[in-house]
Amino acid sequence: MVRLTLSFAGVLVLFGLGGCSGGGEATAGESGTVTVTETAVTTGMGTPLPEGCDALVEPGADDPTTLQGALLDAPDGSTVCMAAGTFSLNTEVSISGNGVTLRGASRATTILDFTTEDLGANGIKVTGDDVTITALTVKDTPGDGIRGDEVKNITYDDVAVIWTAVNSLDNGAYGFYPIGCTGVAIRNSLVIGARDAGIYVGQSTGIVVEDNEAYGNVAGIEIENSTGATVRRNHAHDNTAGILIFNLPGLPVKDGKQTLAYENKVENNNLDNFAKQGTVVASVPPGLGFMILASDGNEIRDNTITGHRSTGIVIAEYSDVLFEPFDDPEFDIYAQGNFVHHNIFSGNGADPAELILFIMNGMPAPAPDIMLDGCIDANVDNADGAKTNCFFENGGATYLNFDLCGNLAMQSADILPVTCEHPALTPAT
Amino acid sequence: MMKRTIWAALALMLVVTPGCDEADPCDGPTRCQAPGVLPLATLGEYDFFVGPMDQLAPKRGVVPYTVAAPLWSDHAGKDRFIVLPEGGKIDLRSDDGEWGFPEGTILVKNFFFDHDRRDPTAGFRIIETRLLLREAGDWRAFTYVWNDEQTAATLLRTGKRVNVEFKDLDGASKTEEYIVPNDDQCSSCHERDDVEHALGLITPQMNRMVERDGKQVAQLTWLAGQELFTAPPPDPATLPGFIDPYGAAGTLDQRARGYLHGNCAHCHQAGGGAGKSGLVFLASEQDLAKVGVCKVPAAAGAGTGGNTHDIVPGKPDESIVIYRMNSLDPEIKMPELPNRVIDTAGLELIRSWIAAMPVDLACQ
Repeated sequence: MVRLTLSFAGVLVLFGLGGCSGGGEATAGESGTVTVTETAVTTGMGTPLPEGCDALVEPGADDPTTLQGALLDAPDGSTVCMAAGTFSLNTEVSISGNGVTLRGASRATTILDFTTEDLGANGIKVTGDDVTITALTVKDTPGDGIRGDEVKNITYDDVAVIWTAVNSLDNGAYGFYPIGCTGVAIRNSLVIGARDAGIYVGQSTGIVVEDNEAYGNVAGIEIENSTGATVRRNHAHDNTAGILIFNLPGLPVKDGKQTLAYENKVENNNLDNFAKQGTVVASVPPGLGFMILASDGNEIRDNTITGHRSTGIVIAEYSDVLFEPFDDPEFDIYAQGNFVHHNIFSGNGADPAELILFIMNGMPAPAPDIMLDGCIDANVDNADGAKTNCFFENGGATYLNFDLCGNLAMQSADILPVTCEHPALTPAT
Repeated sequence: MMKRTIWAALALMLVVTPGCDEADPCDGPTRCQAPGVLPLATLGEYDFFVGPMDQLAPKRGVVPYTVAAPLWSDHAGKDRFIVLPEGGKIDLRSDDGEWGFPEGTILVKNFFFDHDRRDPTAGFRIIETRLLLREAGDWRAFTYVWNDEQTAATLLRTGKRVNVEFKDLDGASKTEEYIVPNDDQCSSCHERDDVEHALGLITPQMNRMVERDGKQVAQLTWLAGQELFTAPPPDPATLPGFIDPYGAAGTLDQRARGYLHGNCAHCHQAGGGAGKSGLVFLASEQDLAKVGVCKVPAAAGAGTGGNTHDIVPGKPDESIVIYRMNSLDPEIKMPELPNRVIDTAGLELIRSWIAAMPVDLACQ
């Protein structure tokens, strides 16, 4: 027998073993089953499921558990349907399966109400690939609406994300919120009331944003640090600014470019800016149609850009006049090689916001339709003109190079030096 | 609580009792897998414990461990165990990468609340036991929720909100809501680049002094003595180790960086849930701009609190990191999901750390 020193507790355990009871089962009478309370999920064993549905979730006493349970149980490639009705959700809903479709009865009748949400920064978070969300409304999330987290092929089709309070700081920041994704489709959808951008796509590729409506947001649509997006046939109206194409510093994906924005109706974006101080979007003055910030090679064509109190389009570098200083040596602050052509500008600049008046440097209203910062990257060779921001065939649109980098000293309304063309970008199929 | 568990474990390991081998063929530093398809329906079926299960007294082969910079978890107490499959061993690493575990490994973590924080011997309520199961080169995460009688814990995949009552350090009675995660919420911290990770089983977290048999010993040395590693580890003094965030040793910077790694880096690193923010809280990140110094936030939204940079050296109350750590608003709070109670000690630590940063790095 080995001599050893045991604590009192150790001795008790030895006696508890009772000799060689071996792997004694300590507790008796355990009969566990997976518990999903208040089950309101049918999988076809009772009443027949609607066509195309592998499961149907109905509103009930514990919507977070039934909806999340159905999504956790959904096999890859299956469709989880939601019945008409309002689902009360106090917890973020997640979709982690691949190829899963979440489908409501219709956008108007299947409402995911997140008014009571107190757990999770999003209404819905998607981490699976090839996920489709369709025919439902996400309402009043405290945080962001529907996030896509570094996934492949996320599709939002016929979805509404809305906040019912008007211009409220309590509204979430982003309605549609895919980040770091390859393959993003946002179509036939609606967003109202976002405190930052209603439709936002960040650090992604393979992007189509088409046939959507965005109003009552600070930014209607924002493409940020992303490349090759197609933004078409959207109606962005009554936001603070209609469509933003931005590059920001300090992010892993740095050099977004080559957004093609065409056949959008961008009008009357004159909403006061209700963004949170400290965010980049809070610096955007109200009354802008388009803004390109620090991004190259974008093409803006065949849009109607009308009724903006400040201006139709601003193209600017990331300037510390407008934005906070930063530490990112790789960041390219300039906006170059953009191509703005064949747009209809009308009724812009009647009552410019303070910042716009400031950069007009004494020029009287109306502000011009097109405002270019005039900043040139001295380290870059532009002998072939590829870096020039070009404007072509925009009807009678008025123009100002406001010489941001020269302290507004050498402003010019002569559009001839920037009347030029670049090769067209190819729209997504 | 932890002390009692250690003594029980040691007692089991030291006893030589003739004639027991046929009753427990796996009596050794590793375990045979319990019968049944994983995950099993109840915790008891895994056969990890001896005696009444709520004593959490581990069998031999259920090896206890602790980490240097634990996750806050609303001040829940935690018991952590490694259960290796029969004959399995761990590949230790010399850097801060995750240890290599064989197929069939199970990592166990019990979460409990003392009834009275002034007196840990007064008993505790176990809320949940989380498992990570190693399968096909990946981990699968599951949790088992304990019944009020503390006799059984049952697999639950859809999460639960549990009201926990206890007496706080000042004697006041409190009730807090504690979140048992659903399957996807486990992934929100444990998943990186589509693969799940064990977060605490890295050398900087594991390389610390622990008490065994009344003496201070290096945990890595002790684990090696339990025959858990494929090869003898290097001298622990030559390996990285986080400093206890609340201890007296080390520098403020070391303590803060260890805290941030343990509480934030699972999301705040490339490939993690906050990878695209560009804000990195790995203790190994050398570029202070990436750690947030004078960093403009990407998409903090309401989380800015009106501030403009993640960390403003010398000015914690103008720093977004502090603002977000100090909030319980779901849109603002950091961490995003797991805690319902602010970690005031952690907040103080990070506040001190930012306050001590030289102002000549400042973002004007």
